Amino acid sequence: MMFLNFLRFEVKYWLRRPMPYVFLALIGFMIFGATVSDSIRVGGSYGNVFKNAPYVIFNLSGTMSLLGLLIITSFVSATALRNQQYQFSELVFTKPISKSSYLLGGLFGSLLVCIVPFLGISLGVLLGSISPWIDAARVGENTLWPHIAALLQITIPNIIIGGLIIYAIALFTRNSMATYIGSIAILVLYIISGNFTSDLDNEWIGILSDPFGLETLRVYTKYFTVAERNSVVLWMGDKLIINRLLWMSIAGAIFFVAYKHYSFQVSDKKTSNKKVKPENELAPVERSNSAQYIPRYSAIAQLLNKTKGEIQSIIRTPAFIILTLVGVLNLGSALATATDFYGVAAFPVTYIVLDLIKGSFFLFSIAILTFYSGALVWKEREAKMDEIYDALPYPSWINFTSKLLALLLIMFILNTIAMGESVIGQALMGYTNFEWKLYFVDLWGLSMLGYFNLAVIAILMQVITNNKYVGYFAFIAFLIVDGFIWGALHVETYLVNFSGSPEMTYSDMNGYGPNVLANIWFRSYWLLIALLISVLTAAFWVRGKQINLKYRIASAWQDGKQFKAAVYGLGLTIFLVGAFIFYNTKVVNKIVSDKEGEQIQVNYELNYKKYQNYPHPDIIKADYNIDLYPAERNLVVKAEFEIKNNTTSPIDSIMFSLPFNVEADVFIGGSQLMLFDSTNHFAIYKLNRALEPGETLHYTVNSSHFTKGFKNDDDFTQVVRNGSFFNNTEIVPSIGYNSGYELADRNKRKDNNLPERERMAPLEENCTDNCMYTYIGSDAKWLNLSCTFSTSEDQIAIAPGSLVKEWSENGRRYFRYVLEQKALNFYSFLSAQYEVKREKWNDVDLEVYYFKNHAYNVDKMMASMRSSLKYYSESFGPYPHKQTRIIEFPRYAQFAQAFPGTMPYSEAIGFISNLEDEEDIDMVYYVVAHEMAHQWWAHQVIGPDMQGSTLLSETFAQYSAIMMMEHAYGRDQIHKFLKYELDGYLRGRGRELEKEMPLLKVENQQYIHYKKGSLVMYSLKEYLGEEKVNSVLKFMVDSFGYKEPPFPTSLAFYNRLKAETPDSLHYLLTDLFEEITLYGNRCKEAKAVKLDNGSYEVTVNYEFEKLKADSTGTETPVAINDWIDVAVYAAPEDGKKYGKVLDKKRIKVTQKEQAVVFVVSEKPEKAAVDPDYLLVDRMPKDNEKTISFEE
Amino acid sequence: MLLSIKNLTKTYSNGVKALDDVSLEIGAGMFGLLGPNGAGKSTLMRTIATLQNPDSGSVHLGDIDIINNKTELRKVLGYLPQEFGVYPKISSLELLDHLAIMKGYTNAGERKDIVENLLQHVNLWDHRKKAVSSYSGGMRQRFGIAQCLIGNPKLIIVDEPTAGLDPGERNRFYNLLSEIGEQVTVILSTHIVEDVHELCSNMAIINKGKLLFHGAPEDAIQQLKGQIWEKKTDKATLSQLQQAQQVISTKLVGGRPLVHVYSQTQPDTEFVAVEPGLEDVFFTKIMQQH
Repeated sequence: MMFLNFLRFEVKYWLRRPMPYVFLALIGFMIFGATVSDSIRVGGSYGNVFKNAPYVIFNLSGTMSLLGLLIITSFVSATALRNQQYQFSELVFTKPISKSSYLLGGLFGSLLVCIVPFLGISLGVLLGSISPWIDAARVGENTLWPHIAALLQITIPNIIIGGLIIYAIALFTRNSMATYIGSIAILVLYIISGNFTSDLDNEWIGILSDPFGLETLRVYTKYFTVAERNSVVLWMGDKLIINRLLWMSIAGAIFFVAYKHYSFQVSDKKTSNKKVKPENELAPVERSNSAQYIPRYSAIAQLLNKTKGEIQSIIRTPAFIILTLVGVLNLGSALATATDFYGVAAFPVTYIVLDLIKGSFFLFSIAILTFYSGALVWKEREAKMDEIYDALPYPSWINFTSKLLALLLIMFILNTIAMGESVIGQALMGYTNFEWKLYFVDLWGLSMLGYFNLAVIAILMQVITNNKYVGYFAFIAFLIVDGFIWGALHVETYLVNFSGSPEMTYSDMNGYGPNVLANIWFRSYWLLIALLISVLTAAFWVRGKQINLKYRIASAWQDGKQFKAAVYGLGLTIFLVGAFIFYNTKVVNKIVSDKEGEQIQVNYELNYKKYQNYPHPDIIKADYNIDLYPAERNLVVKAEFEIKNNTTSPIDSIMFSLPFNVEADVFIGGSQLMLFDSTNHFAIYKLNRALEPGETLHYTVNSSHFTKGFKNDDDFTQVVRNGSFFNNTEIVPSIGYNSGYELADRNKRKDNNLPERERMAPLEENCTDNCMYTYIGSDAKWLNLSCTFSTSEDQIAIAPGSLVKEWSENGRRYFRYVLEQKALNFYSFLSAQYEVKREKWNDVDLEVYYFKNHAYNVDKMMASMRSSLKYYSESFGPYPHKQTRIIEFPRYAQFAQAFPGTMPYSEAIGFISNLEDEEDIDMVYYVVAHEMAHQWWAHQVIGPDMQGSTLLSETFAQYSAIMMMEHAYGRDQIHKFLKYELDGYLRGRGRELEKEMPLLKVENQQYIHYKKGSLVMYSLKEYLGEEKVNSVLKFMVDSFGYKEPPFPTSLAFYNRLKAETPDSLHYLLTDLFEEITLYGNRCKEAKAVKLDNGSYEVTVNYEFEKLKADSTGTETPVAINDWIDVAVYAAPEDGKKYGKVLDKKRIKVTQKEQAVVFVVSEKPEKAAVDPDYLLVDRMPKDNEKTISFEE
Repeated sequence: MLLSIKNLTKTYSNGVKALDDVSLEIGAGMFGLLGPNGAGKSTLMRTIATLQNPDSGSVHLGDIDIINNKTELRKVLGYLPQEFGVYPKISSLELLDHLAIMKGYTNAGERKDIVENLLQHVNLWDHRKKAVSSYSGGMRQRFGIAQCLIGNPKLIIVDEPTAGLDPGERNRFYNLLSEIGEQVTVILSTHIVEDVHELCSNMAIINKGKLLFHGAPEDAIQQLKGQIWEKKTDKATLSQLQQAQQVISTKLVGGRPLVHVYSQTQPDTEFVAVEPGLEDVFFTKIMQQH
């Protein structure tokens, strides 16, 4: 059959060409990258779903069909226009073939071939999920089913839909550029219409208007729990079928029109490919006088001209245009969705944008670099121009150099495009402080150095193998092997890792950070190696017909004195630089490999666990003397400690766990050093005379950190030029065995034959012996703290407490801090060049120490501190300190943390938040309120190292912050906030690897003590009232604040709460605290009629479901007998998200389905169940329904 | 300038001996290098054109040692390879301009002069802005000559230039070539005997890497005088004839084989003596090699 012949021809034709495989490799690499790494992005982020979950596969297939439309275009358009392009049309059109076989055969052949690149999705996911780089906990079972289902329902229909439309455009226009413009137009229309329809309530419009089926997928999966996302394979849902059929018919109809329109005639449009008519006469022309010119050989001019030609040859190809456009689109979507946490946009500061570029754009640049390295090397030979070129009088190195330069210039252009796009993106988001220096350093400097190394290797592989595809393969194989071999061999140095240098995290405060010097050396080292490779590659270049590699090497060696000099010269320099790096990183400093680090933890546990319960004294007083030298990154600490035997037996030996990043030494008068294991971080001192119960003793710690030379990767970011931040546990030894040093990862413990580790001690009622220490540490209970802290003249050094003295000496600044209140043995030290904002609230000094460019939210922080102090001291008890400080530190860590009266706050999470949108949650206000609350919850009331303890600190801090927000911003903000908390909790459950605990027994699980904690406490407040809840909290402060042990457990709170709660609501407490309770409530139907008196009667049918989950996540329905809120809302006013509450009732629910009738005076719009997220609802989105009106 | 080739030998890794102790001296004018396909012509041409090194032997153009000083030769070389293509979408003007730079003409004004002159010279002026890839075969070869002539080369090598050209185009091409051959050394490699006959004052025949003849075409023809006989025969007796006689060529004339035989005496009465042509020389030399 002729149709089949054409189809077979088409498929064979493409399968012999590189394009399907190039795109297959590209998609494969993209998806592989996104699977193994969180920093590579394809479309959105994964959240907590498995990296190979069916949901992910479906979404990737959908997203890729968007980006892949251009790939489909490149096949379909080439097929449709091929005969015309090669002037073959005359030949074909005059043959007795049928139009339908010709067009349809070609079309379906190319559509079949289009499937090949998209198989890269499955390839990438499958390979990624079994690769050694991926965290095994983020991978589910691999089955073929979801891949097949996605292929059949998403990918293939999209290929057909896109292919038919593009083919139709090609038939209409007979112009390939038009097809590309057409496909871009489809994408643009899609994006615009997506924005337009997303706010519409009617999901059918969204479903029907989306040709790619992504919206349909979203509709199907929006209520999916994590478990469902991980397991459910969508199969032939009616909505999907309708969408796919509809769009295939539309595309088919478009194609049919084009098909009818198309006739078998050669286009009469003049094209550049049209043959010129040969003329008949050769006019004799006098040889001109141009013979007089004498050539002036200039290698530079030749090089520049050749480079220009190479660049043009790249830019003129469709592949370059496609890859660049896809990269630009991907970066655009990354920029558009770049949000901070809780949906709050951070100011798109340049380092964030640069990270986005790396994640979403560089992949395409590297694809272009790889593809064109081969294309350029083979350019002359593929065009059969090589013999002409090779016999021209230019130096051979121009060949290599022009191609390298062309590749680099292309990379430069791409980086500049990314820069331009990002700057436009920043401007559109209202951020105009363009940090050009950062852009230039990163995009024109550092990344170009990396591309230079890559390009050199890519070209080298082409020249050595002298076969384009073997060359590609060799290059990619080289990168892959280089990527894992050193880790597998436990060789950890950037001296062997190709083009390797330590990561430099840019911080506004501290610039490029501690690895700058190492970067200069490592990058120089690799630059030199790349230069050497360049010299070799240029010399081994194939010129003429001499293709034998051995011969090329030998003749290069024989021929050139300069070549030899360059090789020896570069070789020697590389050796010297390498030796210097080796000296610095391996002799002056040490590289502790992951494996070695793990071994230290194992040895520590094996050797010293036996001392865990050895009686030890408590620190009762600490006085630090810290000298920080920021410019040199040196730290000298001398600390005096007073310890007391609080046990009932004499203590004969004192043991210490030594810190990791500093050299520490302990001096105890009247003692003998029995053991000092600096490798495994443990020391034992035997006291000459045992310390009797109640007795005290002094000891001194001398510790220091001196930065010498540079390290392979300096991750000691606690001490830096500007923005040092460290706490006491990092600079002095702790007393006794420290279980925090143990290897925590379950799998690694198994590998090292360590016993399973219990996450936390079980919750005890009336706990005494196990409640003698807090979960912060077991070497102190409450202690007195003072500190003398010196730093360089331009910096301010801050420790907790009141500044009692400040002076200058020898060009350094000294600060003496004394903390008036008792403290836990956990406090921070910071030093940087700060701007300071000071205010007062009653007698308390309010201070914000911030980097000069980060003044955006300082006032907001002040306001939050003020209101926190007011609300908390009125509700829970007086503020214990004389000052409260927020202190900014560089973004090496991204958190805020509370120490006594002191709150270090990362520059990344609030100082640059963009709070201009009033609808957004005020995250700065919230985080400050949370940290302020820790001055009561943790620094006054704190639990032992036991289940449930973080309820008393983190959950209470969440509650306090929520109350602050509610008072400042109203319920709408809380509504929004709780929605995120609910989402976070549900996601967190899905990611739990061990056991989900009820809140009462939380084992330091963040999704429970923060996220669920917020929901539970707010619910409690709504059911019991703010006053009641606050009184229970106040009781906790009154009974346990700063009190000696035993420390209170979560039961201390819970029992009190129970006593204060009416019996009718005891079920609620059980649900919230003791068990894991979930709801599946929804609003099924809502109808309204307008009554004669002008008011409306709304009848709503609700469906209720209550479930209990066990620790593994298995959910069982239980009978319902609960108080649940139901409400009716008016339409929101313009610019508002939520409408006015017209009526709200708390009803007793006893049945699965229940109807409620509301009579409201205004026109209602929506009905809802549990509108305030008081109950943990698995699918909160269906709690609301738009009311339909009946006549 | 004298091109002197001494004892060139080249054996490929697959064992094929492409050049076997070839020595030649070539002066100014058109020089024809004749040989069947696979004779080693291209190897010889590429060796002279600096694209390949011999295993042994030397090539000099005047004082220039071609094998060890390729760059110097390239400065005076014009080379039109047997097969060449062009980049798509680039006009002859652009491409010539680019090649002129690569030939050392880095002054833009001079280069413009040179390129425009050449385009007029090879009569491509009217098509200078069209893509070379859209040219007909003859135009393309003329473009090839134009690029060859950039910089007034002293040595011009053209390898199988007329393959695929129609007679008219071929003539035009030869006119161009012979005009150039008046001033410099032009080596024309071909397997078409006629080409050499029409154009060359000197020639060489090589086969299987060996030099079989070197001299003027007329001398070669003279040597064969009275030794070439022809006969019309039929297909049935052809093989018999091939056994009995030194058949140097067979071609069909009006459907019947016309046989040329090399013999000192008249083989039999049906043979008639013919005036030998260069083709007979060619076939005789090759036959004699076996």
